Amino acid sequence: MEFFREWADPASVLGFLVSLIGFFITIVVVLRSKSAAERTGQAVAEVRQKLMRQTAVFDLNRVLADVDELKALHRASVWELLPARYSSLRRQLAGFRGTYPDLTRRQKATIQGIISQFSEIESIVEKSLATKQAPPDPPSLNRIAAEQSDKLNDIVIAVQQTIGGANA
Amino acid sequence: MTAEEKVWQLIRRLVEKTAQGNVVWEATAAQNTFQTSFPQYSVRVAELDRPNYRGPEYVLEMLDGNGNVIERVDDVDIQNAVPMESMEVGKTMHDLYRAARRHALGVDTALDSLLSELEKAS
Repeated sequence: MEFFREWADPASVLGFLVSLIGFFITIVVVLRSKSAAERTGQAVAEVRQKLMRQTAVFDLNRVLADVDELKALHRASVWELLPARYSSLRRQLAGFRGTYPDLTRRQKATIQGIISQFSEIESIVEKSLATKQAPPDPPSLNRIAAEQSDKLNDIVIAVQQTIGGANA
Repeated sequence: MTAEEKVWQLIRRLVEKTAQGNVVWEATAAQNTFQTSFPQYSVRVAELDRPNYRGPEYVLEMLDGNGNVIERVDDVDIQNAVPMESMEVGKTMHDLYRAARRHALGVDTALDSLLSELEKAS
């Protein structure tokens, strides 16, 4: 009994200290695992963003190829095929603008302008098909299409630069 | 405020912002038609021949995000909507068209360059 009386308090203190150290170690382990989880989450977000940018470049290059094909069809005067192509192009661009969140306000406005330009060209070609005549100024259609191609190319370069920036 | 009254407000703001150089206009495939675009909408302004009428017709179109025309008004529509300011409508739409054309074709830049060249030549 004497023994217990003498050592009870130091044992409680020691027990308390052991608990405190254990608690501290637990906190450190939890914090480390949390920061590891956060780092993993950040890495996943970066990979996701990089993939999204690469997909954006791929999508825009496909649209650019479609514009080149449109210009060839204009030169060949294959007007019957064109309205469906313009619609498809406009849908692709509207979809791209809706799904790619990193576009600046200016880039979104540029894409909107391209959509409107092809809408105008589509209207001109539709009117000419209805009257069974060629559009009034076919070279101007290619001039406008080429200008839209240049604007799209600028956006591709800007997106590519952000991928390069992410790699650096 | 009716839709036409809002369009009238839009026209006046476009004239003001174009004069300040804050609106980018571009030529389109259609003759005498110019457009400016924002992230979700575009605006077109056109000068059309109006048979049996002494002056041209000015038309303003609004296009949605897919390039569909969602509104089309001409100067007469606006004049009817804002009778108190009807005298001002034709001139303002004419001013907007002229400013859009000048901006889209780079007339101001060309004039500045020409004046600068003439200055050097003298």
